[in-house]
Amino acid sequence: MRIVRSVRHKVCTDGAFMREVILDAPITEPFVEFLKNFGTVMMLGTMGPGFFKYELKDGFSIKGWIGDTNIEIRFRREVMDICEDYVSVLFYYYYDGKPDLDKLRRIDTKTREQILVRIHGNTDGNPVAG
Amino acid sequence: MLRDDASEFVYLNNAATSWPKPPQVLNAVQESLISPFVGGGRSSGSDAQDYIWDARTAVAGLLGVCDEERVLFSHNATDALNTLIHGFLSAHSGPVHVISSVLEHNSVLRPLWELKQAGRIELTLLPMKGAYLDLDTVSDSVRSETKLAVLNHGSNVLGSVQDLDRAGKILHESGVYVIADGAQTAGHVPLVFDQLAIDAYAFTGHKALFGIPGTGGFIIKDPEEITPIRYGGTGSNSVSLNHPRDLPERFEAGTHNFPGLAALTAGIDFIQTTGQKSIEEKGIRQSRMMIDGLKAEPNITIYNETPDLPIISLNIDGLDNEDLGFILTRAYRIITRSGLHCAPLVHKETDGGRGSVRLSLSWFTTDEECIRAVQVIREVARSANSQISQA
Repeated sequence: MRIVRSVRHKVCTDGAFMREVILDAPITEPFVEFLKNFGTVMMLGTMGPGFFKYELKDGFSIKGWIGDTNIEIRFRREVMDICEDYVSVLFYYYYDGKPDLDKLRRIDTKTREQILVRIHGNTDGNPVAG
Repeated sequence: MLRDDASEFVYLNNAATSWPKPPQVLNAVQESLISPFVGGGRSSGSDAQDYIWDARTAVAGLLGVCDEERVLFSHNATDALNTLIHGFLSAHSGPVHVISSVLEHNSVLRPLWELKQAGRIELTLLPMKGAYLDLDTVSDSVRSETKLAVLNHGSNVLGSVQDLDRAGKILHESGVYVIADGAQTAGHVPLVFDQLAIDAYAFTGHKALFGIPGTGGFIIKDPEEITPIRYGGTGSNSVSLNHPRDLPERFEAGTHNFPGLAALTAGIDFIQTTGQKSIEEKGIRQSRMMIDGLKAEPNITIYNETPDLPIISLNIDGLDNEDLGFILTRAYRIITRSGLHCAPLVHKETDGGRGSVRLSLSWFTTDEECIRAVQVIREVARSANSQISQA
């Protein structure tokens, strides 16, 4: 699964940067299940094909609908560069439902560390005492 | 109920920009662009329509101003408020204490905050009592150096209309100049400006006046209290390098938005023909009908159960308001507004700064659309308690 193009950008109320992107294939239920390996996933199950929202704490969120090729990604501005690369990796390595989870978990761990260092100054996620 | 079943949008974001526009507004824009432009000193033509003066007359008639010259045009309400606030401070030297309120939109808060940060003013923000300005605090907030008050007339979050005449009377006793932000009330609330204890009132064209974006302005009593902050061509007294100080040129430099003002005139004509009272009553009836329906769902929180304007602010427990807005738009084609609505201090008081989803209606909103929106929001609310998985 790949991001084909980015169609709309805006700065959100909380200062996050939003990108609406189009994928080369529709979001599937297994893909949303796959995302659960790398963050929080919320689904509103009783609403037809289902709304989902994936969130990597302090980094970014993805929301959209199963069966849709159009999704919205919101990046925390301070770590946008790190997260943009990570999002591409998540989609690219998903392949056809058989991703290399071990490899992705290593990338995920490294990405989370980079985010924590950028935001908190350390990998504990606590602000550095001044 | 999902998007495949819905063929049309339900537009509930009229407090941002009203839509659809009355057909005569669209026609007026087109006709204004077909006809040659004729206006004071800007053309040698004489038999075409004077869009600017027609708009001044229309605004004066609707808002209760006896002289058209005291209707001044700008790009929108924010632009008008900036002209009034900065113009007032330019005309009044020395220390100035300004009174405003937590109900304000950023169109007021941000100009005042910039001035406070620059050390030009001291600022007191009056608190809310329920959805309204706490009028009991007005008198005590006045100091010897208080010269200006900038107050919200209608809240864009809570739909509450403030009794600015009462506030203005209290402030006038101490000689305080009162500017009202009427972005949400112009067109919705019957007004006789000349009889109110308000010195200037800012309005915008693209909301309840049914005009198009890019028009707005203010009405004023004594223009000498406000120094012009923009200068340039007016098409009058061009031999002089001094910008004219007479109205309306005092506050209007450069070419006007002819199509926008033609639309504004047509929008006001639509209000007058339809009847402002009818528009007001329909909006309130539909808002109450929606609130009654939404209240039946236990995990929907409504922050304004008795609005004066057709505005409803709500949240669904367990669902981010941005997500609810996203779901309503993408799945159901219901256009709302989510977030802080450029009024962060109101949200601090009402929902802890979380923001809300706002539903705002217009004359063109149908009962069927209201019922559908209520059904959908209740359906989403019932779904909001479903599974949440943590990695």
